[in-house]
Amino acid sequence: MQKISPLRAGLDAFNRFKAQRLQKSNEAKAENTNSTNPFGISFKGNVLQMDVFDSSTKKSSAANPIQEGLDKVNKFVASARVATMNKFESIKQNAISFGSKLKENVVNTYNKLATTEVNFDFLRNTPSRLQKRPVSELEEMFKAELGNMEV
Amino acid sequence: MVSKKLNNIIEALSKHTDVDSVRVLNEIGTNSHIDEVRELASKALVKKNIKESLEVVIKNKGKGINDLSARVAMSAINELLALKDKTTATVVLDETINSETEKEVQDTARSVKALMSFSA
Repeated sequence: MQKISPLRAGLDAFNRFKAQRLQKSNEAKAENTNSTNPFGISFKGNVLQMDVFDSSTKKSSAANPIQEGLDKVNKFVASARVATMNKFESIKQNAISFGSKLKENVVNTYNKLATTEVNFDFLRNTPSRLQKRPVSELEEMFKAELGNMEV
Repeated sequence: MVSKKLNNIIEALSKHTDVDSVRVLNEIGTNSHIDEVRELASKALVKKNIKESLEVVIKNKGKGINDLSARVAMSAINELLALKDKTTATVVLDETINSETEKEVQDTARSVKALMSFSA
């Protein structure tokens, strides 16, 4: 039976950790090679891969590494172009909705102002102003107000 | 609920210098079937603090301190007690007590006079 010293146990744990880290980094590399859309363009909820930007009239030139590199650059350029177009489209839509909302608010305010009557009766009918009027006039107003209350 | 405008009219009549305002408050205000209007008119007449207006609320049966509504009567009495210068009110109360009016009116005037002497 092997005797496990604290030093050996620590070494074993370190080796296990090293192996796990290596495995993780390999997995991450594999994922990175699959993620071919650096601009994150999505269509109907699905992230588009760079392969969609492949030309349909692509010739089989897989053997040529220079051609392969050029193809990759083309894919990047196409992806960036579509992303920019998407961005502009969303800005345009936002601007249109903002404009229509603004217009609606202005129209509502105008309609409200057109139907609002500015009434300064509350200033005219203060006790200090009323007491300067003749009693006969106040009597008529008193009767009219009582009539309004009874209706 | 009395409108703000009506409230202002009654207040204006209470502050009006023309004695005819007493007639308006008496004829329209204290004869109203609405308790709140009678209450405001009675208070306005007391606030005027002149003999003509105080006679309306003290000497008449069913008006001012003799109103059938306890709320209206109490408001008028409170207003009388709140007067700074009670001389005219005391004179009118004495006249009512010593006059040959109804006993009920005399009793009310006597009670109010007693209250006044306590609050003075």
